[in-house]
Amino acid sequence: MLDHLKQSLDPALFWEYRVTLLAGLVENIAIFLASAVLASLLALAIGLARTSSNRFSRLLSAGYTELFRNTPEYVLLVWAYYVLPLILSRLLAQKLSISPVPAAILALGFAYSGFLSETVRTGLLAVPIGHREAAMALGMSRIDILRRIVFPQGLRRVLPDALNQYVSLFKATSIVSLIAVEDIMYQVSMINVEEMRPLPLYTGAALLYCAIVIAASQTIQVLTRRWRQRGWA
Amino acid sequence: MTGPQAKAALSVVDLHKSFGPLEVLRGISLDIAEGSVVTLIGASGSGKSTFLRCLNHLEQPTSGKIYVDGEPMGFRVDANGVSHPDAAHMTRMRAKLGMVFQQFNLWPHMTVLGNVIEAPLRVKRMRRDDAVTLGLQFLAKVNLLDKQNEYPARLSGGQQQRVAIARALAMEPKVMLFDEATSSLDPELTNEVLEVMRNLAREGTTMVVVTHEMGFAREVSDRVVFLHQGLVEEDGPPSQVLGAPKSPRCRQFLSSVRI
Repeated sequence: MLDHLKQSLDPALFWEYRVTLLAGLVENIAIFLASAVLASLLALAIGLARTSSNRFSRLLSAGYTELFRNTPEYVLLVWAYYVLPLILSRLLAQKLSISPVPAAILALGFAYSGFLSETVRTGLLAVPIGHREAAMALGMSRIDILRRIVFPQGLRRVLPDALNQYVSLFKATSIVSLIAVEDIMYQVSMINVEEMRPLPLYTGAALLYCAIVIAASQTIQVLTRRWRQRGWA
Repeated sequence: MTGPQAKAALSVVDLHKSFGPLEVLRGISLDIAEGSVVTLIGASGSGKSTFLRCLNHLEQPTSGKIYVDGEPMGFRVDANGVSHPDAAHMTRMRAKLGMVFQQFNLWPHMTVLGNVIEAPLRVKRMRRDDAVTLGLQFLAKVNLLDKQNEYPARLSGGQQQRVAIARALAMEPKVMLFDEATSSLDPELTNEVLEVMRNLAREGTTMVVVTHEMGFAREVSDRVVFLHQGLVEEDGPPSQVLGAPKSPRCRQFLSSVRI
């Protein structure tokens, strides 16, 4: 029993490959950050469209949300990497390809914009209409009302929820090795080819992800509690 | 087309408003003279609040014209005197009408002073220190100078409403609109708000007030307008409308309010 455990946990092996593994982790973090920015920007636009007074943009944005919320990240990833360049090549009548990293950022960014746009929508709806009307009555422009009145209140309310979405997004970066992005999972499988020791390698990767995510969620909980105490969120 | 009256701060010509099949305002025309206080009374559903909200286009009127200081609301008049619909112009015109809401509608993420100076900063593009000077001046006017750095949630309802009044005043509007400003306050808090409104009236602020406070209507207003089913049913000085109403509906309404 103890022997098995010893086999599956071998910090020395991780230490030996620390540089390669760290490079992989950096790749994960870079993809996470880029797709988080992309997802957030898209989610703001889509969330706004979902609360628009225009029926057409409400319908269109609802379709967008449902499409990306209900398509698995893995499918989007493969689609962005293999299918998207094919379509673009046909459309532009020249051969195009897309590198793994941009494909991963696109796929994860769009996938999570679906989830996040729901969060944005909830936040926007939580701002009482009267707050907007007060600003309108004072002659504030539509853009100032959004920037100064609606977004600060609405987004603050959903910040804890949004942060949890970002944690999920970080977890989802573990699938990008499937299109040969050299992230931490990719490095682990490469090392495995050399060392033939899947047990400690994959267990280690699992623990590493787990540690990062737990640290992030704990930080979020502490922050959220503080915000609540101050009457935010 | 009937033009606006020369001395009217606010002029309303044949205002109609329908919500679907429901016609709430059925052709209201009113001229509000500069410096006067006009109180709108009427049963709930008579269209008082809708009328007020149409004035600054928080509700889009179905038809009719509104002139603020002689300028048509929602239209830009070109050099040849032709009016064009213009949303940006309407946004600017709105600032000429200050509005105070039943629910205060202060922005909870800004301090009291922040609430007051926001529109001068964004709409008038004032410099920050000028806006602060102005804001403090109006907070002093509503007796809340000491609360300038508090957040609205820490204030009583009466204090919040006084901040809302200061916020509207800080844009130095042509006319102040009060939409049941004391209706959601506890009785002991209504007085501090009414006192501020009395002072404004004394200083010659042009005011249109929707209220259930008949005492205020009698004491302060130059004119009382009784609305019934979206029409002006009775219009005159308080002594007449409240003291000796001609319309049986107005008499009925007043007796139901007095109890």
